[in-house]
Amino acid sequence: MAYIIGIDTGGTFTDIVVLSEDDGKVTTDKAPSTPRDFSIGVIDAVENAARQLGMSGFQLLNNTAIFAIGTTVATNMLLTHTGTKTGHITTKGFEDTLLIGRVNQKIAGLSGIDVLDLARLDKARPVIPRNLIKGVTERIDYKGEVIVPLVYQETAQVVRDLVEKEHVEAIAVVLLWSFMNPEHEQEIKKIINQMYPQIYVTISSELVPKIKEYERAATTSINAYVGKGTSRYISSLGTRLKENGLKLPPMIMQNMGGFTTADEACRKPVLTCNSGPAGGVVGAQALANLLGYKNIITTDMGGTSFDVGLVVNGVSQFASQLILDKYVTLNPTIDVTSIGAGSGSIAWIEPDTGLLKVGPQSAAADPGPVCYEKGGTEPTVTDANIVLGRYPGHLLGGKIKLNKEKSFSAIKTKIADPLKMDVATAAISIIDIVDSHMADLIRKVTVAKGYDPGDFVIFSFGGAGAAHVGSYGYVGSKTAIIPNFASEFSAFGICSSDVIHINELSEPMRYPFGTERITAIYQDLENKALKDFQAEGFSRENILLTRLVDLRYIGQIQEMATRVPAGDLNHQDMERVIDEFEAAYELKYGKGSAYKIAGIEATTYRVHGVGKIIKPSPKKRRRGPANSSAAIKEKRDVYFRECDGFRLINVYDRGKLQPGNIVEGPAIIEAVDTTVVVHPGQTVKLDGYSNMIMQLSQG
Amino acid sequence: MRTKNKIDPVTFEILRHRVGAINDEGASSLMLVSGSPVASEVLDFNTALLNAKGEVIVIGPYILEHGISLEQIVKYIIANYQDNPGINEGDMFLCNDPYVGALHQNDVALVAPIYWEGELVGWTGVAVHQQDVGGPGKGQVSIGATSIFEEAPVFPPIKLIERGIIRKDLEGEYFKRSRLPERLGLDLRAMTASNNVTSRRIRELIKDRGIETVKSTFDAIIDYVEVKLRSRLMELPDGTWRHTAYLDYGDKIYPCKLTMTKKKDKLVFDFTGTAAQAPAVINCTYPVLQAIVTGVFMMYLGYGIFPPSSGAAGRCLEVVSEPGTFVHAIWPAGVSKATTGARYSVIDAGSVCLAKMLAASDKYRDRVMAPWRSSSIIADLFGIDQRGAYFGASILDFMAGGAGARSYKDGIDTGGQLGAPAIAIANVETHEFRYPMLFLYRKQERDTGGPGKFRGGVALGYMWMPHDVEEISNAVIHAIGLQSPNGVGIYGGYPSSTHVVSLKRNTNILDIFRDGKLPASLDEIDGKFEIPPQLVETSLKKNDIIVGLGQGGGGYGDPIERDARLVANDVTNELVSRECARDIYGVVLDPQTLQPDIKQTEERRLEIKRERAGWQK
Repeated sequence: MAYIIGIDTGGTFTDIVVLSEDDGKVTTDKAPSTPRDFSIGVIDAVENAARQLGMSGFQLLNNTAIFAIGTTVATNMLLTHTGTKTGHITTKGFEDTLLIGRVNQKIAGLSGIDVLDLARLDKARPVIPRNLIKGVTERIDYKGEVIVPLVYQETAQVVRDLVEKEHVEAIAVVLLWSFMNPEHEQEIKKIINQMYPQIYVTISSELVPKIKEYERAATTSINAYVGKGTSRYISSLGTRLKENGLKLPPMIMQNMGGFTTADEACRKPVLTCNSGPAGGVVGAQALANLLGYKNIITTDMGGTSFDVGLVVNGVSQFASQLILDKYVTLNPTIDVTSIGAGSGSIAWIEPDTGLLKVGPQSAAADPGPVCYEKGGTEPTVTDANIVLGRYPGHLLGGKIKLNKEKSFSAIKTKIADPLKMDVATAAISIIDIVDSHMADLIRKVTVAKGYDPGDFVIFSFGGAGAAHVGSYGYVGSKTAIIPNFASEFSAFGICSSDVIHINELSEPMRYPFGTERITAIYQDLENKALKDFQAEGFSRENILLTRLVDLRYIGQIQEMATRVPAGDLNHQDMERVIDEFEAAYELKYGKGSAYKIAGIEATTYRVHGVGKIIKPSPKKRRRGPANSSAAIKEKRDVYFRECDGFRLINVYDRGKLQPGNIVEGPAIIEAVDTTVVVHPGQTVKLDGYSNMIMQLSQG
Repeated sequence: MRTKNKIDPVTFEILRHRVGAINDEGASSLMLVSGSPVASEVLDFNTALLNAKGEVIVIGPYILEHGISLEQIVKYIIANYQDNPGINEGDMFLCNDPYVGALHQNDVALVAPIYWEGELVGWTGVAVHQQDVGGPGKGQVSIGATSIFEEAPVFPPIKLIERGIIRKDLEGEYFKRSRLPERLGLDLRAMTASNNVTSRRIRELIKDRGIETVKSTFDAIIDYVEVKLRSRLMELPDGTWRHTAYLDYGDKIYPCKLTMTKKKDKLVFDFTGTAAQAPAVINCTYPVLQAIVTGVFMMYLGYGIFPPSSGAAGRCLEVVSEPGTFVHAIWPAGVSKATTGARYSVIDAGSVCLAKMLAASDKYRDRVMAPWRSSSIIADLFGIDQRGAYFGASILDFMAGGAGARSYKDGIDTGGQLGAPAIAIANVETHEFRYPMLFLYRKQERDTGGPGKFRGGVALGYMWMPHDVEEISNAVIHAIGLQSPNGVGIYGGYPSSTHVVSLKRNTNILDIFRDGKLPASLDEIDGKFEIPPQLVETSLKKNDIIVGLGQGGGGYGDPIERDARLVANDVTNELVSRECARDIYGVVLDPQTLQPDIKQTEERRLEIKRERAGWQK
């Protein structure tokens, strides 16, 4: 028996999903995360899962064909400023590019209300201080022509100073126009490697050969800054796993939604940032393909944040940049948008207006909601759910007890009494507000991008999603899906991923394009990808290469990735690409919005390569009767707005529901790690793969 | 809720965010579809949603006054156009008339009424800076104009879109005189799209929640923000604060004199005593003065209140001014450079008075900011680009001015502009791909930030030359703050640098390149040195080099009280020179370690105090 293992270390718990290659059986488990040395929690999670499978952790690892892990080590290093001391070499005269940060670095990633808080704004805490940023004499122009050649002596001296006087352990090299002509950057890399082979070097033309020097410098610098630390972690994890029986090195999840080899991850650690949420989107995409859904909105509601992603026509949507600690990085990533709304979000009253607010502050897991009795005193969304009868008196199958009286009195004294409301009304108001914040984010991600939520199915995962999706899902969608393993869904996504290599190059040109040059660029990018995949042991039939080009109207900033045919390109091919771009543009921005007179520019060429991992298809269980009454465990008073108060309703045991069973709202379905709230008029049906399919009411 | 309108507080809390999100969506549509780098890359635009009376409910975080000014334009249309040409569903009005509300002629607004079943519910609008709308001067400024008749054409509100259909005759009229009609075309589409998106979302909201709820929410939001602003004012001490800002133009200095009086929950900004208007160029009109004052008030006191409602802010303010002054120009005075002319004087005077008022309160002292300073050198370029096509470019890199120092920490280096938190500058590579330019440096300039116990943020500096063309035939370069610094210091803080623009003609730069060198300053290059006039239209040949130096933010507190270690850091980070460290901060650094020499620093600081005692004589 061989296994595929997916692990996510991003949360309070390290989640594991084990896929048995022979029968498609899925086993999930978890263990507390161990931030000081994440590999301990990883091994613990493996042991727990192995126990379920009736074997030792060593046996499980020994029989594992692919071990893929999502890590937050690089992100943590960046956020806590614990990367290695890093130097930066750039074109003389442009040493301040990272610090200027195009001016708007000071608001990068902030919400609307914080953007306007001028007296509190600051730029990013520099990952590389100014005195470690050195300019060298060299200049290349927009055509890639050398205006001033690189001076060897000066460069060698700069490198020597950085290493011997400043004791840097890593160097990021970012020169103007290096993506048009990488010679100077390559030369500097050679100089560093020859002089100081122990130094970790990242050059921008290898990591992110794209136009926009600030964003390129940010990406490259962060990569160099977290490079050594991430490499150390990956190698110690590899050693530990090897000692514990794993035969092949682990694969590492990246934020473009696929995993890669440990070696590649050590060269490009910046791509591991935010890979956990990307895993969730990929998992949803895989599950949607199985269930036959083309368009989905993925929603992940945890304790502190709510993440939303999109799958359109079966394809996860990408963002062209990712904001990391106020720096804008340029690699394509799975687009995940977040707000501070979760089960731990705190409800409070604004002093001067007396209005009820929820979040963005969160009690998180520590101290947690009042009902956890771990020192939390501020009422949270979870406390409101308890008071309304929606949550049972315990979590995780009884491991965490919830004190309803404490929730009640916190909401009473802090919210209900000051607002002269009864406690239930205060509690349902808290829920209404947090649900509306989440619905607003879903609208922003769909409607604001030209998509109609009515054409989408909502996937709801994360521990808290199932209790709220019946309400925040009311944005026009007809169906919501609460997948099996909803609370370990990122790990499931990592497990369902393939190996992905994205190779890209900027070489801006204006229409009409030189088709020979474009063909040559693509062939070069494809050869790079094929070389990597073949080195990883993929046979040609399992490698899928897609060509994309970023096109835009001249003068516009917004680019649209458009597919390009394979093989040698001629003018007719490019005409068709342009037609497709214009059609897609009009679809997105409305008929008549295309404006050909302005002219069209191509900026970046990209080859999206997928190395398919053959996975077993999960087995479908036979469908049982619609009647679900056998799964009813109790009756409980639960509050619904639609019922104008409490009503005695059925509470179902998720473990006893059979495929085909239908639960009609109002109802509660309790699983070990999540609770589903089914509103009046809604129904939930268990499908053959044990996913819960919710029909959202329209009322 | 303690406001006038009766609406269920939970519904209000939900809709307050919804309405903010809808206005944001209008702004994103504009950014995505806009064809001008000024809007989509520099973000020199804004959107607003207004109620049926024309009061602004919410503006976006871009250039604030663009959003604020829409109130005046909509109110003008409501007051004058009811019967002729009429206000109907599907109409949109275009306006760049500064005497109605547009900031200057290059800021073009498009506003649209929102209807539901025949009833006017509110308005949506957008204003975007356009590179060229026509007129004798290329770009925004008509050098030497003696009235508005010699500046860019003025469009009072015209009904460009009638019941959803664009009037081709009027569209042609609008495009005809511009040197860059395609740009106007792309932006007009973007503005239309933005208004359409906002209207559609509001109608969906009405469908969902009912017209009465939405209408009362609109009013309740303005009331809510007003309550919050007034309660902040109530906590601040009553008093009167004064400041005079100075604007240099031609051979004159124009004082902008402000007396700000706060009584209970109301603020009066009185500009009596301000200099008489100039014939053209630098003035602003009264509606624009109101918008600027509202903007600077929101930047100092509107933080943390969502959504930003200038309609509410306006209710807390009164603006007094004398017609015929350069902050309250009367027809036919020209105003083509209002946004980088009179606007800056008003912002500076307002900033200092508001900062002083905040400093008088223990609770609000950490909200004090010395004036921010930015974007006062603009290069509008026109000519044939490296691909042989006609081009127009606004190089707005001096948006990267310095932020004012705070009462507890330094101002942000290259922090931007006070009234525009979200603005950005383009990458050098973006400029060089689009336009025939080659940058020799673009950096944070040492000693541009106002010295102080807390230092004003430093500003940007650049040096560039034409590239891959024989010449850039028309370069219109205009600046203020060349003679006196605008970013003044407060509470003993020093002012920022002044702006510098200089040229070297017919240089040996290509020889320098051939020798394998990259010059770090104009001094390393041979050629004919030239300080151009404050406003100039010239051509740049292929070996000509232009240098610009921005203004930083004002300082806070006495520089000789600054922690010497912070000064040493500034020297290491090339933000302060060793000379300035010694002369102004009184910090003497060990030449080897670049750490402060404690004894010599103490002596130097005593010496500075003795020098100051001498000033009294």
